[in-house]
Amino acid sequence: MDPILEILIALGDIDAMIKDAESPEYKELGLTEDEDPVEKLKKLREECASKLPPNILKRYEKLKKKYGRGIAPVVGGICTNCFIHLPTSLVTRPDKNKKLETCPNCGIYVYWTK
Amino acid sequence: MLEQLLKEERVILDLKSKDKESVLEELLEPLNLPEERKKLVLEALKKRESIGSTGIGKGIAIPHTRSVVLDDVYLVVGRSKEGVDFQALDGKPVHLFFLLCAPPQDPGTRYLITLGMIANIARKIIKSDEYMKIQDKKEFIDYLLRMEKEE
Repeated sequence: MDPILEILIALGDIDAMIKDAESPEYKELGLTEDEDPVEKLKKLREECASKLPPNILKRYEKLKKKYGRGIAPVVGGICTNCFIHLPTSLVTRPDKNKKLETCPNCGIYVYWTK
Repeated sequence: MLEQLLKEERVILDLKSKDKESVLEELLEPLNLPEERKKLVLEALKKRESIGSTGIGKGIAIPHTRSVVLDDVYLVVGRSKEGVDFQALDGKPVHLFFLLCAPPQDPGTRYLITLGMIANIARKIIKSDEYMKIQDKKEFIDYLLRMEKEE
């Protein structure tokens, strides 16, 4: 797997955790002993983001601002951010996840689940 | 909703692991994820644990995470007869695990709703040690579904 893609996945996962931790539904569950898990997650995010090349991070942040996330899984050939079916030439390629790619429609970074 | 997620092949009645990291790994086994994806989900679970243990006390833990590499919501239930040192809130070994993981976006927010259901079941389960006695996976699922409905 592309090493930058691996960091982007970790960053995407942390961002999803932050979004949950900030939601009232999650807070109500009382699954954290910590009073402010969001702060701890933000520190983890900072560490993770610092490993990315500045241009990639800048693009990720821009996408996150626009769509609420910077990376999305492709499931069954469909980008789960814009729900467009990706071209067959991309879907059938054997080197998926070996290099950093974006959805040709919405521009989000993609991870191929299959 | 819980009924759809509880599957016999995702129930482990006799976990072998003794420590936190290996039990998370063992709980991921039934998902049959390719090694690369399994490693990434494990890392996400460990990150979640690093901000506070999901061992909620009284022998129960609910490790959970979102991950970009997942295509659906998955629930794995695992039981350890000897107990696992999971740095639970009460410091006691954990005997029952509910591992829940989901992609960042899931239709109908199944992930958060299911987490709520599990937390609710956990509160009822700790009233007796019945969950330690069941020997059959299907019976175990039926027991959890009964607990879900119980007032």
